[in-house]
Order: sequence, then structure tokens, then C-alpha cells
Amino acid sequence: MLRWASVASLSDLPLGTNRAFKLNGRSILVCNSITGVYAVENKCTHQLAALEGGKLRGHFLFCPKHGAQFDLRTGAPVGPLAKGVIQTFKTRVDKHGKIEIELPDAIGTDAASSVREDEPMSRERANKSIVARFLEEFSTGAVDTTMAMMTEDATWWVAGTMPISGTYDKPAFTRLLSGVLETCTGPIRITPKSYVAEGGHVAVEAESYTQTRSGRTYNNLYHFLFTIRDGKIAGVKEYLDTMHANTILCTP
Amino acid sequence: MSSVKATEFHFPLDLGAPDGSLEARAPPVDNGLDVPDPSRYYSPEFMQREWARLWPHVWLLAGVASDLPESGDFTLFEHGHEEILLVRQLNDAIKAFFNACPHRGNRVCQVDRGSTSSFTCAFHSWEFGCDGKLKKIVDEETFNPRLIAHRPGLTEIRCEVLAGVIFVNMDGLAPPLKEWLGLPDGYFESYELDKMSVVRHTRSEWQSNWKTGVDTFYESYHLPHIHPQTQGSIEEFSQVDLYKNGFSRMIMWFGIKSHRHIVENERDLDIGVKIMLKDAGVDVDAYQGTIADTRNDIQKAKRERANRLGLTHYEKLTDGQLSDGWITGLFPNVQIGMHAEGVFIMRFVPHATDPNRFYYDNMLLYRHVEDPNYSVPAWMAMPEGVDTTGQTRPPIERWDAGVEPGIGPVLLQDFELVPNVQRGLKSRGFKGPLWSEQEARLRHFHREVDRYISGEK
Repeated sequence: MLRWASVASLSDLPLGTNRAFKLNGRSILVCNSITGVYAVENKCTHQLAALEGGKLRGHFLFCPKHGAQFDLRTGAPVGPLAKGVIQTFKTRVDKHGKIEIELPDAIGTDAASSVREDEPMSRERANKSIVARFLEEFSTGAVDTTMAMMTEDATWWVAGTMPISGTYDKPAFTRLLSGVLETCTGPIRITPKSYVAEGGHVAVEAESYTQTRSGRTYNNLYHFLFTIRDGKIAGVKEYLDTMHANTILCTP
Repeated sequence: MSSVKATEFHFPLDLGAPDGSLEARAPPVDNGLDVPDPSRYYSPEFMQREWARLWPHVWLLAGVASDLPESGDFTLFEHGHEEILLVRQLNDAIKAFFNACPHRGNRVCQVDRGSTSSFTCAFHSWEFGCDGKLKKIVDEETFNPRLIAHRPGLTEIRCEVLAGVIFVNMDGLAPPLKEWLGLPDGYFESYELDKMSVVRHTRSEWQSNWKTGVDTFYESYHLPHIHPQTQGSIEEFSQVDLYKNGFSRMIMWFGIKSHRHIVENERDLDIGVKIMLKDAGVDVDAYQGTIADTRNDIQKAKRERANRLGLTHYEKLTDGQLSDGWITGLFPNVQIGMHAEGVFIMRFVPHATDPNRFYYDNMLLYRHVEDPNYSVPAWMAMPEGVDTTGQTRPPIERWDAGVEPGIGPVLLQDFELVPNVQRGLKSRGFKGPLWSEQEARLRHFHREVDRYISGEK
């Protein structure tokens, strides 16, 4: 018999931080990292210090005392300092943003609530909302604020064999986007139709609309694949109707 | 008919690049013909002199800045018995400290890297900030206040960062790093190491003096003999360039057969060359070139690919840099194999106590490009399935002494060679190394070592 204990709101645990919770005498550390929400025993196996306050790096946690490193997915120590594995607990975030921890029977707790079958959120949902905000910003036509949502080393790949196909780094894509927008009478509005997210990736079906200065209508269909890192867009792959794009955007 | 004939190759190889170009052949340096006494490779006295006069005075390559992306990130640099803690500060600067607790000497940091807001000694829990300053003495009231009035913190040492590479100087007396670095202006920066990340880091113990290790990697004369499998894909006659302060470089032509390697059919391409063509994005099955064309075609293919992908950093590189290895020696104990896609930083780390052992530390730095046709070149022997995006800093792979390290077949040949050299060096019958002009970098390196040992520098 497993139970889910509700411990905190995601909003009370900012990204990149962790906090310990007492559950029936056991101290459990809940970590909100860029790669997900994790819960582990709040005790280092090196010299038994509390792990709370240790820095997070992806799915790794560093003990704040002597730097022992643990893989939060498995509890396994990394490197020679700590020998023992720390206990891990499954987590999920319900639709109200409440973090829940799956407790084995051995840990009873008054806080444990009944099992819920909610969608396990977290990283994927957060990534979808990052992409949604990005497409909204893109649709305003403001290049600077749009590009600010991308990492410095971000790349943007455009499918096909058009003159504008290929992989762009951030400065190059900024130039391309500015150039294309100059030929249009207004912003290119991109309307997302559906989202699928897994791990650090978000796939989006979308449709665009704008008018060019030469009086043509640009209305394309897309499948975008976004890569998200540190809350920013780190990579975009743009699959589109290249014949339409070439005719409207690349042909004088 | 092949345009590469054996007669076109002669030593010294001069690529004919214009003066002022980073590829240009450096003017010759007369290092004399004195044969050094071989005891420098094994005597404990010479090792002690190195510890007194060489290591503290020079800049040591301690790490790469991309390993410390955020404030509070730290990494440990080990060199002989010394350990240096490198810590990214709140103001983004990097500081370096000796890794010894001022209380009883215990190593304050006992992990290779991590991120923290303070360091706590595992012995009595004295605590230090990321700036090295003392934060807490446990039971401070039990110390005589005069003993700790100076608020003992971690001892800071000089640290400078150049082009994303971190150097430290233990005695604090070395000239400024830029002045000390013997490479031509802009050379070190041209490969943009600061945009690369460590994707593999190995450290293996080798059974020879650290200088025996340097010597092995400082010349390509031994290639046809120790690494015969490279004859079809690497020209061992290198352009050898000697720079100031013991620095040097050799340019090795990759993607072309050795001048002494005989191939009957000019369409009969070596497997190594095929791998390099494939790495450059060439369809090897459809390839029409001959053995004379491969190096140029690798350059062309990489140039075209860079233009197609908009890789602006390639614009700074000559065609030669796209195919060849610029094997760059940083005095005293570093050699960097520089290639367009990434670099190998090799450090020949002296053993703490034994002149007959050293650690071969090899970091592969790679600049990630998001494209299915761009990856770590296969010849770099990157294991399958490793994250090369730079998002995961891999741990150091270590092997116990006596265990064959997983460093790939070519390096293993060197690994197996050096103990035999080290043993032979000690023979009463060996009178000292007789270096050819292909080995001019070795003489240049040892002459500079002698300037420190003698006290001239």
C-alpha cells in the first residue's frame, strides 16, 4: 500500500531550491530542479549532515557540507566521498501545483492524502508554458524580447533546401527574422494548435499568418520541435511547407 | 597521376604560410647540441629541484572556465602533492586556493567538482567562504585568541583566465600570464576554447617520468614505428615551430597518407582517411578522389558544411586548421591537440613522490553544433552514447595503476611504450638523448626546464 503525501506548493519552492519536510519523524528533502521535482532522504551518507540547502545541478545534488554528490533519480553517490545510497521517493505535482511524495508503508504520516490519478506535471507542463509564452512573444513581432527568451547558444533549424533553410545560431537567426519581418506589413502571428512534451522537448503543431509588403499572404503550417534548457529555448527545429515559404518569402 | 610524390616532402616541412599568419613557420632557434644527463628523468634530486625551482615559478594549466559556469561552482586541480581549489566568485571572477585547512592541514575539498556556498573541513568543521575567508571556527572560545587573531582562511594563489582556460602560479612571482605565454598573439584565442565544453576527461597513471611523457608526445618521428596504423592517414613530417619561453607547436597533416607509405592504387583509400572524410560529411562510397586529394577535400567539405550551418567561428580558421592537428606545447607540462571541432588538453602531471610515474590527464573539449551531420570526429575515440552537448560535465575516468586504461588504441601504444623508455634511460649504457631536428621541440623544452633548474629563470 502506497500513499501520496502532499507536502508543499510548487510556487513555495522556487526552481533551483530545496526544502526539508518532516514526515512522521523522517526528514525528506524536496528539490525543484530544472529537470524535475525530486524527493530524497535529507541525510548525507558521508558524515550524516543534512542535505538541505545543497546546490542543485540538473538531477544532481551537492551536499552543502563537504560536496558529496548524489544522483537525485536513484540516490546513488557520485565520486569517492560518499559510499552509501540515499533513499529516494517518487514525486508528482497535481493540477493545483501541489507537490506530492509517494510514501512507502514504513513511513506513516498524518499529512498523507489519498491517491489521486492526476496528470503528473512538472517539467513537461512548465516547458509547454515556456513555449506558449515564446510563441506569444514571437507573434508580437518584437525581435529583441523574443530572442531574449532563447539561450545564448541556441540554434534554429529550418527544414528543406530553400535559400533560408539550414541551421542558424542566435545572431544569425536574429538577422534572418529581422530581415523577413522587414518584408512584411506586420508581425508573423503563430497560433499553436497542439502540444506534446517529453523530457526537455516540446513538439508543437502551429499555423502562421502575415501579409507581405508585396501584397501576398503568408499562411504556413508547422511542426516545431523545441528544446528547453534552464527555462529558455535552446533549440528549435522548424518543419514547414517549404514550397509555400519559398514562394511567398524567398521569391521577389 | 597523384600530385603527392615522395620527393615533394622534405624536412623541415614548411607550409609556406605568410609571416604574421598563425600558420607561419617560426624562425629557427639555436638550442645547441648539448646532450643532457639522463638522470633528469629519474633522480629524486632532480625531482626535488623541480619542486623547488620549476613548478612554483610557472603558470600551470589548472582547468577550464566552462567547468565553472555559476558562482559557487568549484573544481579541484591536482598537481603532484599539491591540490588547488578553483572557485567561481559572486563577481564572476575565478579565485584559486591551496586545498589545505589552516587548522591542521586536512584537505578541505575532497571531491573533483561541485557547487557550494561555503567549504567545511571534514576534520573539525572549520568553515570557509567561496572567497577563502574564514567563516567559522567550531568552539572558538577554546583557542587562545592570539593564535587565531589573523582569522586564518584558505591561502589564495595567483589565478588568471585566458580564452576560457584557467592558469595558476604558486609562488605568485611569474610574469603576467599573457606575457609568459609564448604563443603568437591570438593563437590561443583562435580556437575559441571558451565556447567548448569538456565532454570526456580521463586520468591514467603511466610508468615513467612526466618529461618522458612530454617527450613522447612532442614529436611525430615515432608515428610510423609505434603507431604504424596511422601511416595511411597522417603525415609524420610536421612543421615544427619553436616559440619563446619553451613553447612550441607542430602542425601535423591529417587526412593524407605518409610520404613514406606506399600505396599501389591511388584510389585505394586508407580506412583512417575514410573515417576523416566521413567526419567531414563526405559520402565516402560516392567519393571520386585519389589519395592525393583527401586532405584538400576534407578541408573543402568542412568549409562548405560550416557555411551551410552558419558556423561563424570557422571563418577564423585557415583551411589547414580544418584538416590538420595544431599540436601546441604549453611549457612546461601541457600539450593541446587543436582541431576545428574540439581540442585535447593533455597534462603530464608529475607524481607526488615518484619520479618514475606520472598521470596522463586528457580532457576532450568539444564545441556542440546542433545538426545531425555534425558530431565529435570518430577518430577522437569518443565512447558511444556520451552526452556531447556540453550540458553534462562527465566525471573524471580513472584507472588503477597496472590496469589498461580505456583511452583508445593509439594512446595505449604510447602507454605501453613509456615504461620501456623509462627503464632504458637508467641504463649505464645510455648516455643521454640524441635529438633529431624532427625532435627540436624536445630540446627546446628541456633547455627551458634547465633555465628554471639552474636558477636562471
